[in-house]
Amino acid sequence: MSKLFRILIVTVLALLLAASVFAKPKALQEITVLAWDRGIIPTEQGTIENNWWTQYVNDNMAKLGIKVRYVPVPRAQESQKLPTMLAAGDAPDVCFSYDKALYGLYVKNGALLDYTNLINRYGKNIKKQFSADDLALGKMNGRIYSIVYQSVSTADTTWIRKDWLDKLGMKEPTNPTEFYNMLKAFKENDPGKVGDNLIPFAFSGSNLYPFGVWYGTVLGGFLKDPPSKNQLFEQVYPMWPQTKDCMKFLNKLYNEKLLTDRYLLDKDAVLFQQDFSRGVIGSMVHFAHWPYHSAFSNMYENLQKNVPEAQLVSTFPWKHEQSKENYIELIRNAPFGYMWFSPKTAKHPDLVMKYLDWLAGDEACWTAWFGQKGVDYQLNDGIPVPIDDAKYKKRVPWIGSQYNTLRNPFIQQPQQYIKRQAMDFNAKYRQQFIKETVAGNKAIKYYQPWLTVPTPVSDKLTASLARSWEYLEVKIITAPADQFDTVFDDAIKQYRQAGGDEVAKELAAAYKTQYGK
Amino acid sequence: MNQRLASGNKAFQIVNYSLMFILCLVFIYPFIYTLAVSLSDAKYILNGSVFVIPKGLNFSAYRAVLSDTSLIHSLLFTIILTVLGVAASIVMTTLAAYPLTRKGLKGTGIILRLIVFTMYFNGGLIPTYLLIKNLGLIDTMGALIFPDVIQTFLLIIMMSYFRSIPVELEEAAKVEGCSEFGILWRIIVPLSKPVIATLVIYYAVSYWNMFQQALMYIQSPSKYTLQIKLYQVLNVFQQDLTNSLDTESVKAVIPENLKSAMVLVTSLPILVVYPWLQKYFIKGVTIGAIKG
Repeated sequence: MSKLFRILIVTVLALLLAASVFAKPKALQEITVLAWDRGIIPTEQGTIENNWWTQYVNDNMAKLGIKVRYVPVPRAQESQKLPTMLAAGDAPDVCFSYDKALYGLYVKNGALLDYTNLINRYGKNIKKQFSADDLALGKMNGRIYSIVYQSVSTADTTWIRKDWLDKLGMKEPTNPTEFYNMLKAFKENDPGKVGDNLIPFAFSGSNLYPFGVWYGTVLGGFLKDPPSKNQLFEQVYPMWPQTKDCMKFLNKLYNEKLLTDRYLLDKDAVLFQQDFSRGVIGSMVHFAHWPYHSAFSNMYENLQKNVPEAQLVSTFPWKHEQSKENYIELIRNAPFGYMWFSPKTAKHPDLVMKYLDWLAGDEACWTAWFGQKGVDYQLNDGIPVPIDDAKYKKRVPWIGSQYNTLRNPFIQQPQQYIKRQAMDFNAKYRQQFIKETVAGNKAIKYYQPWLTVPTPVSDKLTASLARSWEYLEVKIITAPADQFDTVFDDAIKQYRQAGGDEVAKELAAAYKTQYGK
Repeated sequence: MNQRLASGNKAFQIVNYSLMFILCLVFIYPFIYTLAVSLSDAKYILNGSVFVIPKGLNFSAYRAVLSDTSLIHSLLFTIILTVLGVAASIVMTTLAAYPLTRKGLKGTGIILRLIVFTMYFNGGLIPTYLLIKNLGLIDTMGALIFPDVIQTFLLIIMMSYFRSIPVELEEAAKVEGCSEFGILWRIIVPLSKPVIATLVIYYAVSYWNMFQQALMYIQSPSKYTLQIKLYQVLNVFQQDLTNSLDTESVKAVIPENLKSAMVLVTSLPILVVYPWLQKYFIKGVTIGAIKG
């Protein structure tokens, strides 16, 4: 009996042991995902590798048998480090980058994961959220290698001091001639009583480069007809026939001391910000949220602190008198962002796609953008509104800008998007921002199409070409009026010789290849 | 005649002193400005009215910087890196320089040429990264110390100093029965304090300013060096001056006074090293000057 008992016990123990071995939960398989480390996570929220968002991701991924490990790369050095990691076969399984040349190189060498079949098999959400056209942006030779993030673009805006206009009894200008007359009136009458410091019209020195946004805004005022497809394709706007008229206009403003050259070397915009908040600038071009956003030091608020009666108005006066259409924004603001892609070295392609598909879904997408519903935000008229501002600021803004998102939840509703963004600003400016900002692809339609056909020549030349233009453009605008023609023709000749012609030719051919037109 | 010479001399002195004074101002002003900004109220900085004296004096920026645990972490990491790195570098440089300057080591010429070769040529970014990776050093402090543990130029400085030490001292020690290692430890090293102090400064500064290697080989933010941390903070939204309102535009703001406070906090510790080693340093800089 006792022997039987002993055998029984041993059997039971053996079974228990076996059960414990076999019942052990299936181990999670790890995938690695890039994160841009901007060093902006508040200390009490944890680190970039471990915080509520990474835990939230991992809680959801565990259901699919995935463990996600984030690989932080300092944002400022991302463009140096990612290529090295890719070259060394050490890159994360999921990467993102703005660098089309890098992407093109890896596609060409067959070093990226082909997403096509994976999307068909695992990409339920992706297929729901991305149209065939959207997915085509990531295609090369008929296969999908990347998913392109698309944003809602907002138009660059020409701000004018409304209180100055009112004092002079003038209306907002609607074309370059009226704009010129307004500047002249500013200069002659000095409605703000600022004396010698008066700057009728300014471009900030930090925005790309001095006078850098002229082609997005001012150029539109010299186009009688919409830009042809070819013009948009070729990217070389200095060579557009209308550029000469536009430059001549700016040159005239400069020579009549209406346009300032004060910010040519003001790369960090310190001087510009000072002048703006002192209220000596009558009109200027900048992007739509610049005066409102805290990241640019709440300039509107500062202006009104110094000059209480100051009022700004956003205008879009760059319309040719004979044109039917106001082009609002040319070339500059394409709605395309970074590309998501994976190196071929990824060990678990299926899990990579499962992760991306989850990220494309509504819940993950909204959480990345606005935090958790009921904890961080509540819906008000379809717009997520922070429940507790201070808590929201601590928990949410660092997610999207470091872990990145696959899509913008408001891509089809730019107005909703603008309303949501206005929530970030001081309450007294929200309505103005919502009312005056122009956003979305319906309003901003003349941008450069996305191109994924390899373009080695322009990859090589674009940066140096842009640098030489930066210099040539200043030379053109600041030339003495009687020498304008010579200086302009000479500069364009130099630009063409420095690669402008080659780049235009290659891009035209590349677009033809990609879009077949 | 003499009078004229003296007055010419005097004029030279005046010009010389005033030039040097201006030069000093040029060098010291950015430092004073940073200090003033770090102690000023954000309002006055934006107005551009802070030049030398802080306006709206407050220490909030320093409080914020010193309560940032990740920065303190980087500071500690960098201090440890500098101490360990300098120790390793000094030991290795001494051990390499000594035998190369003594007679009797075969192949000295070839070894020296190979070492000098590395001053002009290197393996390139990616092969070096692969090497570090295959050595298992990625994301370790070792990746920041081992690849550059001996800097060729500093090795040459040390060698030229060693060459100036009379051989007779060694021979005398040998006669007294001292071992080769004993000679190095008891005779050469004590005589080489100036050059060692100089090298300590050079190495310390280069470890303190470690940036490129840290960027490439370090992954976890807990091992960021101060320079990476600083670069990250100072550039956090400079590159994000896009007109897109998306995730790209960072919503956190770093006020100017915070930036300045951070710059000062990160540069002070290494500045402290200078006066401490200065008497050696000045002597040391001229070491390579006459003896090649």
